[in-house]
Amino acid sequence: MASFEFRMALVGPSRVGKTSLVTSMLSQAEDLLAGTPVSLKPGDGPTEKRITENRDELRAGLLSDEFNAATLSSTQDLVEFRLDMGVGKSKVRFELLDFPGEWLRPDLRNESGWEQYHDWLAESSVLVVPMDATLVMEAMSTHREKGHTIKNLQIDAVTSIARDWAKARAQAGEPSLLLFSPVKCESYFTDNRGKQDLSEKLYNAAMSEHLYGDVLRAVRDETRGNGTPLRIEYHPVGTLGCVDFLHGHFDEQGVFSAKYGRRAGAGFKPYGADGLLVSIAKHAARGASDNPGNFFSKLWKWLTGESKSLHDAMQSLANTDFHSRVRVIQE
Amino acid sequence: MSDLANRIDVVISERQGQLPLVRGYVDAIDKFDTALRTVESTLAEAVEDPAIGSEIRPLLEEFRTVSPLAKIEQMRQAMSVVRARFERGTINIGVSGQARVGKSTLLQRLSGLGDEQIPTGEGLPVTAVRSRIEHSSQNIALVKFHDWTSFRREVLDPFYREIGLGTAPVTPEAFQASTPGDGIARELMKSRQLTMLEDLKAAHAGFRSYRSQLSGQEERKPLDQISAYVRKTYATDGQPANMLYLAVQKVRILCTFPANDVQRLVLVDLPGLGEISPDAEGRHLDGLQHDTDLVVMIKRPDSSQACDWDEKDAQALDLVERARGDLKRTSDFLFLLKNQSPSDSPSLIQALSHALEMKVNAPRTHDPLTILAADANAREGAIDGVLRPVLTHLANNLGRMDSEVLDGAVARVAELAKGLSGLLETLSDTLKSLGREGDDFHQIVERARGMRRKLAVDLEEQVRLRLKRARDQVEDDQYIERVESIYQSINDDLHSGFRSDREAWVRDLYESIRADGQTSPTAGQEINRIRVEISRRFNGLDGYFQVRVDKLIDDIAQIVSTHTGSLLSGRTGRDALRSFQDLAAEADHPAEGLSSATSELLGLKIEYKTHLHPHVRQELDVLQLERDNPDNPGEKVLVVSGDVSESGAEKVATELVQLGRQAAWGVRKALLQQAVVPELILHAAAEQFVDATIRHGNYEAEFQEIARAYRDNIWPGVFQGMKVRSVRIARLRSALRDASDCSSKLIGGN
Repeated sequence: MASFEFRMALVGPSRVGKTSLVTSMLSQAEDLLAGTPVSLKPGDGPTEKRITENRDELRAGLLSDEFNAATLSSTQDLVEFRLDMGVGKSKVRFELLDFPGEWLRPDLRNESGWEQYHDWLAESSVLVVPMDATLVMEAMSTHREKGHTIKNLQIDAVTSIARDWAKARAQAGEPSLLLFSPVKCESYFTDNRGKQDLSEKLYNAAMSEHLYGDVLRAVRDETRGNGTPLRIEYHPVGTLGCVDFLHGHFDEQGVFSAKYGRRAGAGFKPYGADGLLVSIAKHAARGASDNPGNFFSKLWKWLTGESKSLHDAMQSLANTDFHSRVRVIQE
Repeated sequence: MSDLANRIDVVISERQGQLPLVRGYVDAIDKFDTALRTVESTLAEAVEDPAIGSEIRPLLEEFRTVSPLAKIEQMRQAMSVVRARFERGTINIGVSGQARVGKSTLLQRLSGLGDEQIPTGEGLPVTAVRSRIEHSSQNIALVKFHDWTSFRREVLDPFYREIGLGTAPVTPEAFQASTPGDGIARELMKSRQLTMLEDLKAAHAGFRSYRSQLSGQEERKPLDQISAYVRKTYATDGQPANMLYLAVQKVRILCTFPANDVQRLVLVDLPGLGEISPDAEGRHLDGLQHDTDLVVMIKRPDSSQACDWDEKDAQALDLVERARGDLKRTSDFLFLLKNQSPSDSPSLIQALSHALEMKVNAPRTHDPLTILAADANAREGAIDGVLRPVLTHLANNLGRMDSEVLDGAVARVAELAKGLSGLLETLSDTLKSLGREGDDFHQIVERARGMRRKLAVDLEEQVRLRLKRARDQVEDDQYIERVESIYQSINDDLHSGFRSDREAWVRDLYESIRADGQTSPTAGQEINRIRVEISRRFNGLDGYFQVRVDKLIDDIAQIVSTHTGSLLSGRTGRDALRSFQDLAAEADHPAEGLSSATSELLGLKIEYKTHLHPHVRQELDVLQLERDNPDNPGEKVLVVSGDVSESGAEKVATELVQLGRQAAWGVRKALLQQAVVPELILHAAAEQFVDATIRHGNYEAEFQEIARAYRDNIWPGVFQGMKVRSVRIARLRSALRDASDCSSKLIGGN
């Protein structure tokens, strides 16, 4: 077997920056795997197409003085990202199923998708929850703004999906990893040339009761006391790396559009998404040691038999320390 | 007599030194009189007032029963004796006695006058008018004539009254046309009345002879021409004699007394005791009381009958006893003179002496009278035997006697005042027991309490609502809109650097940069300009804050207005509260707490600069020309920079706009997050007002002051009737208080 599939779920509303996050992961993986024969690439045509388009859009946006993230295209269907980490024909295929929040609306979902959704959740040991840091930080000044933002971030839908995922994980009884990942964090960290360190503020706001605190509670409620090993981490990502938030605007539908300004002399350079890959590798390593017969043990066994380079690269990722901006919410 | 003269002078001076005290009493009595009349009239007015009349009527009746004004008259009389005595300035010695005992002779000897001025006669009484004879360097008589009124009052009326004829005719013509006594049953008349009727008929018959003299004038007459005015003559042929003396009211004779150096000496010829004339006793008493320091009563041992101390003498002594008034001893005021001449029978003299000792002094061992014995017909006898001992006695005792008179009068006045004081106290107590003013006050206090309670409820509710809004972080949509609007205008205008158009701005930037040869100075200035302009724009919130403050003031004014009747009628908002502030300050007893709390509320301001800018200031920090180099800590890098070129200027403009946008957004965000601040400030101000008014330590008293001062505005009509009552009662209380003060002065010794 030349490939080993590793399923994950990605949940968040459209435009929150899921594609950008994947794009960032791909970009940063290049640095992460530099010097090894291993690389991380789109695993199929559709994924490659979306990543390329997204990257082009990002780059194009940066050409103007002010860059509007809301102009990025988005999808409302269940979309599968396939990322292959491999060398030669040997590859671990990360399959990320993207659940747009809107999809939970009965009028928008279809039955086959519903089944696929449940199956996928049952098989995904990792749930990635991207969140728009700009919304969290800039669009919560008044009750009205908070209302719009909570709605825009589809907190209820995300919570519901996360709860279903946690239930499925509890059922499976396998190690699970929940990754909160704020994107568009450039203006709140100084480790990537930002002007002010507002990281604490961002974390507190993001994980507050009104926002992702709800998701956190739901997941914990579903896994508490049933022995499910659940790890929860927080990975802020700068998906562009070279912009600063300037100002924003709610339109009449309550949709917030943010304007960013490109930092002088800086180019496209995502930051913080590498931690997600490292975290997934660590998760796999931990899972293998937990139970010799489980999925993770099989993965490592496969890696060992399939490709030393790939094994070593995976092992190397698992051994990499997190950046200081990563927070472990629950071990 | 010079030593005696000096001592008499001293005594008179001392007496006059007491005059201010006496006049003080007289004034106090006058004031008391006025005060009591005010009490009476105030009571009488109140009785006429339907609001209170029936309750006051018993008070007026009680007042009138006691006749305070009659008591004042008694005080006045008591003090008038003292006043007459102390104002006199002379030593007045009265000479008294029954007819033909030698009174006129004694007066002639002492004054040096003769029969012309002081008539003497055997047989019928001849003294028609009693003169005052004053020691003087002049020698003249001052004859004061009656006018018809005084003649009728003092001469005719007493005749008519005593005879039983009613009152005298009102006009001279009527008197002349009358026939006094005609038709009267003479058999029913007493002999005294018959005698007086004869005298009246004589006066009527001779009216023509003296009518023209009833001028009311005082005329100076040479001493040798006054006989006709002072001497009584009798017709021998049944025709009326000259009766000029009837027109004379009084006569003062000024003359130089022989062998006398007591300068201020007056001899008073008192009416003859036992004379058959109307009101003789009254006039005698009056003369004794008001015009005499000492009376010499003459007895003459000229017949066995006269040597006794008979009924008439006893009556005369009684009269003197009454006239001495407050003098403790009659012996200070009355000397008896045995007018004995060498020709008198020793047995008669002895008989008289015995009678005086046994009948006068024996029963009065406590106060034996001085009995002089002298020949009044001889100058030495008159001067040495009568005048000297009398003056010596007065020189020795007049000071004490004056004190007794003054003390007695003061005590009597005080006693009378005390009686009236008791009356006033009773009235005052009754007034209090009516309790009307108390009821008023009680009502006002109750109403003030109610007013405060209602105010408290509404004001507390106002505060509670504001607190709830503040606690619940209820955002102020208008505030948010205002912030957004200002922010939007900033954001719009930033594109052109707050200038009219971007091109012109960039051009100016370029020129400035080119002039400097670098971008930094221009960029630095522009950054500052943009920072200032952003702050300035947000200052525009002040107008909105003013609206909010005005709303609070309107709300509170509405509450205050609602619960203060028509006190603030027609006024709203600031105007109403300003009026309330003034009214509180101008109350009779200023409600300073309420006034200053209101003033403080009216002074409330919310300002962007003071209340919000400090919270958002740091958002403007992005507007800096330099920042720390992230790659090399400790080094600064330019945030805004460019070439010295048009495109460099464009880059600078773009970077300035971006910084401006970041700053404006930051301020906007911070301001929106402070959206509850205005509410907090308004709540604090409202609470402060409530604290300082209805929760303030003295608030009860202050609301009462407001209520008392403006009750008719706060509760129109409610106190109208009560006000009338209150005013009545207040006036009565004031009148009673004034009268009581007067009486206290009189009781306590002026």
